[in-house]
Amino acid sequence: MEKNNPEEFKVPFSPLLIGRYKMIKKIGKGSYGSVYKVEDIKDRKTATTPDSPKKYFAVKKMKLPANRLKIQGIDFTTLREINILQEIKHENIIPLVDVFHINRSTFMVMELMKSDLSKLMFSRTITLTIPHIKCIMLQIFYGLKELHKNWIIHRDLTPNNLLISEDGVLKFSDFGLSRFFASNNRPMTQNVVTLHYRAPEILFGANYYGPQIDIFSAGCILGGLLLRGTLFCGRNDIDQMSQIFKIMGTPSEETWEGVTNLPHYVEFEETPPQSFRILFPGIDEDLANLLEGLLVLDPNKRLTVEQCINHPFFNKSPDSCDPDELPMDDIS
Amino acid sequence: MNKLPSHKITKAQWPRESISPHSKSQICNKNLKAPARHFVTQMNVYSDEKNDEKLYKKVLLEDEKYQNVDLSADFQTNEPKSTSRRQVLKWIYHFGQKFKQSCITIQTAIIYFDKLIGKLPIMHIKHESDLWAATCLLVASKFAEPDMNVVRISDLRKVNKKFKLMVMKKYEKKLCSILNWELNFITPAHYRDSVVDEAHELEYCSKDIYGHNDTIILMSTELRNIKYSTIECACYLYFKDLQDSHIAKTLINSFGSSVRDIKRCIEYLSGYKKPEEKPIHIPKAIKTNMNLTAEIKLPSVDSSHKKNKSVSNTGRSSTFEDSNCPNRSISREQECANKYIQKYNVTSKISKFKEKNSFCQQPLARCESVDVVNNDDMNKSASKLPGFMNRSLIICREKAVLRKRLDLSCEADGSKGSDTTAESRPIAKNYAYGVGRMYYCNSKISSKMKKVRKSQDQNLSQVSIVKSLKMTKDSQLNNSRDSALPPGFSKNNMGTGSKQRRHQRLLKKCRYPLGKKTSLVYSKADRVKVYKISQKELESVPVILTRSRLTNRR
Repeated sequence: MEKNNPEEFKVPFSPLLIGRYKMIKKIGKGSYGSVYKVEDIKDRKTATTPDSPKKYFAVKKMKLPANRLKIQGIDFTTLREINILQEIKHENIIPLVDVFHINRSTFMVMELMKSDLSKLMFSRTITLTIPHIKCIMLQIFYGLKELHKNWIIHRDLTPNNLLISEDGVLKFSDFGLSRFFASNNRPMTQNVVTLHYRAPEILFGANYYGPQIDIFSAGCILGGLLLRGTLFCGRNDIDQMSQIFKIMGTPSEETWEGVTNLPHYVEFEETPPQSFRILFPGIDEDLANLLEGLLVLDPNKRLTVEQCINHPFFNKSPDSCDPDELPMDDIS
Repeated sequence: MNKLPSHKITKAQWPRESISPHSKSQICNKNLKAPARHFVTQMNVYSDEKNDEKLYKKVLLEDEKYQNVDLSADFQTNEPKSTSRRQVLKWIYHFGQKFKQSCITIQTAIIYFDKLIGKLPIMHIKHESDLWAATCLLVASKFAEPDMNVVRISDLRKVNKKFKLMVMKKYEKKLCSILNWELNFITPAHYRDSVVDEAHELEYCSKDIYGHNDTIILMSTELRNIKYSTIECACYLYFKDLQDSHIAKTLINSFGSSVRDIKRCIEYLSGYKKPEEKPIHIPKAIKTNMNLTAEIKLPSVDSSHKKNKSVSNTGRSSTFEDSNCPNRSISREQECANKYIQKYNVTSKISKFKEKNSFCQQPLARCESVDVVNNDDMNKSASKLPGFMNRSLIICREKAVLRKRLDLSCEADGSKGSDTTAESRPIAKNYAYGVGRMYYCNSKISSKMKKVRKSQDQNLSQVSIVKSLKMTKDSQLNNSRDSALPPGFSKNNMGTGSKQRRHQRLLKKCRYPLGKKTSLVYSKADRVKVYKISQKELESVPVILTRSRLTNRR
């Protein structure tokens, strides 16, 4: 009796995946599925010296839909994510090493990263100086620039999805929601982006939006870095909107052309916009300017990625630090 | 001192701007390039409209040199192979439209198939051409279609029972690994917007959306090494009848396409359509029934093919009857045939036959649109309905098909039958094997169906529907389903199987929820099925659902 191909008979949780990746432990879990730390055995075997350093990867196991009837082969979000990751090769975007199937589930092999931005942001032992913030934001903008240059919107830009390697290089991950924009005149869904980082035009139910929603999320992250917490922390859609308008002022036809025509437009109590220099005492004018530019309600007036990178805030002293100077050691 | 960030960037670890966007390898990989045009037109959100337009054209046209590669010369040159390819493309187009996929989806599916031909031995594809076609459509719609409109495997199964979940998954994985997960391709449809806009700028043409039938015909041809933008241009010019006007010149100039290529395309298009109309497509189901008609001795008429076929078509309806009342049907058949042939002259016959054909080609059980019933109101109402009405419409449709058949036989009698005529009713009884009750109730209540059923019929009124043909005649039904496929595709393999198994299968089907809001209840009496539909929706389908006395049969 010949044995069948061993690859097909491996159980998903066996220690060896496809006879190549040795499972070590579970790292993370999310809506997309779960992530495991994995050692690449094949590489070690082929290496000439036996003592060569071990190669570690992260394997992302895509979650299957809970309802059995909804299983329709490869999930289309996975399909799009793989395709996008394969096309874009950039220092600030996580590289895809391998894709394989075991039984029903799809596995994606990616580079192993140390932690994510949320840990850096919310830890109380770490102090972030202006150079640190500059470094982080610039890396985010470089990643975004590459994405937008390739006509891709990320659509889920949160600190949780920004991974940091040991050298302090920031990498975008989790492209499950992202898509090519303007492939045609089709409307897009509104159930996009984590609520706390959602742009006002999506909250108002606009079907046609652009890369500017990523910019707004980036603005929220910058605010979070200064505040060391989430900037707008609403409980639901309307609460979120009211929190945004408390700071940015309520939109009207004068400040934002065409708001009233949006599908879910609701009128709020009129509040004047606050200046960020009062909110964050101690920040200089350029930083306040940048924050304001990122968080403008009207997507038309929001800064583009190019403008962000060339913003005077980044040209001023103190210069941004090198990525490896980020306080990575303190992350527990 | 203003220091640019580039000052710092020189260090090796720092994220650099990606270099030389037009190196060859990158262009092959990056594929789709189109700026944010939709929100420009829709909401006027962004002000850089003109710049975007220019960029769009520039980038698209630059990429084009690398996109349109000669795929597989072998498959093209050999005639039988190329015909089989054309059939597959027809299949993709036909069902892509049935599932309401956009033209980009259909065209990407075609490109997948072309890539596949280049990479697999042709014999592999030939035996399972329909399977591969279905997977191509599936993957393309998963990739390109918006989330709500993605084709499901269960939808595909209604087309052909061959497309099982496990099989499709296997093929999907195969396809993805063969294509190396590169699923993003530029199609002619991507150039459509710019072509239309260009023409619109010249103030000659409206911005109507035009049929993408022509493009797919062109893609399916042996014309190779023609840029996609020229294909799209040619189709536009052909569609609008602008070949000779001077708009054509400006259009061609702006897209940098050669006049020769466009002429070739247009020649092909105009040449392609004429032969398409002449031969009448004979569904397989009819062919197989030719023997039956041979037994019935027909009066000898000049044996042109068309007449024979028309006879065979009526002969087909006899196959549905003869198990119950064979004598009657055959005698009836003879009469029909005689009268039919005498009554109509040749020209009207052709048109009649086309009509019949058109309904013969429709698959019976899977349908979303109600095109069988040529009623405008019906179509309108169907478009209003939410998705979960489909199931009931299928039943309606089955009934409509039945009716059409009856109508045909009645027409042949000369009595221009409708279902209200006394003659057609007994036949209808023959067809009906089980009768369902349809309850009016809200979709919200549907989970509490039991309670509703206890309180029963006071608020609910009954509508009976003919569910399906007799079980024993399923195989014949399958035949007619297959006729929807273009010739060269295999029939269902599910035709054989004992009655019991079929029955169980039916039972199983009924227990699963059909849509988000619908559910199906299978009552104790075996053959009765209960469908729940809200009243408003039922009112919008008055044409087909009629109250009948058949309910009492339960």
